[in-house]
Amino acid sequence: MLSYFTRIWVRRLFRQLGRGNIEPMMKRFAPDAVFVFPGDSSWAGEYRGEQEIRRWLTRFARTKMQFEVLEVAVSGAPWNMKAFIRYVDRNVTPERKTVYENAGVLFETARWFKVTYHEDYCDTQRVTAFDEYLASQGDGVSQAHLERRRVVGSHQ
Amino acid sequence: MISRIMRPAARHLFAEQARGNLAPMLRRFSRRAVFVFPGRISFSGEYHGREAIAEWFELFEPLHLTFALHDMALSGPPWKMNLFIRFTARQLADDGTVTHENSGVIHDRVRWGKIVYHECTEDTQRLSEFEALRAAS
Repeated sequence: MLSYFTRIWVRRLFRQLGRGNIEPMMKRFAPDAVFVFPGDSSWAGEYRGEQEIRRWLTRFARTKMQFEVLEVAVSGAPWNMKAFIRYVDRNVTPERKTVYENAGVLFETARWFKVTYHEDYCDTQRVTAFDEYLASQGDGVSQAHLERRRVVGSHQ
Repeated sequence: MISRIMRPAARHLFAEQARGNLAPMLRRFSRRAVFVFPGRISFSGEYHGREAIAEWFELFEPLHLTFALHDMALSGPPWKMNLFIRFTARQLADDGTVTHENSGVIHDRVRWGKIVYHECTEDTQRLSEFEALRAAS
């Protein structure tokens, strides 16, 4: 039952995020939350606290990523809750060309309905390919990241 | 509560798999199960049926990975259950040093106790680097 209601709630949050509104999503996080994104892309890293998470989500919202929430499972008591959210996300250009598609699972721990830990599990090779696309479209963060990787790679 | 009951069973299955005993794990799959491993590495793909899944496990077995299971959650009725397991996979050298470590999430769709759909999501970049290192050595 809790998984069912969480799914409805999360679907609404992701719809808002897809429209560029990060505030409902930000309200879910505890002030000292930890946000982890895997891999070696410009999105990867461990982000701590409201400011760092807000910066990541603001950049992410600019991509107008569309989320489809598939399955949700929740376990634990309200003071030590764990949630798994399986999703597919897509990035579609105004010409309706899909430039990115990935499936993954979000894992979250929550205390009294505030997210204290968030980790994304997804195919990171696809995220790197998306970075290359964003760089080709003039995204400065992706361009700088790819340049850094190129320099590091040439020194190895 | 169900998650707590299932945790020892799942730990036992993964421990058996790490010892090279694949039979208990394979018995969890329905005959027509679908097994998905993402990414662009040699293990990636969509495998249909228990035989194809057994072949995948046989390919995977020589890596001698050990699995630490962290969190688990279940949702849905027994005929349409979703099971999630968060894990860390490690490969240890003979001297005990960690040669590979990756964490991921397994999603299983379970019908009356049998897995009908299995998907494992891991950092595929890290897996790709691990594969390149293995190929080089």
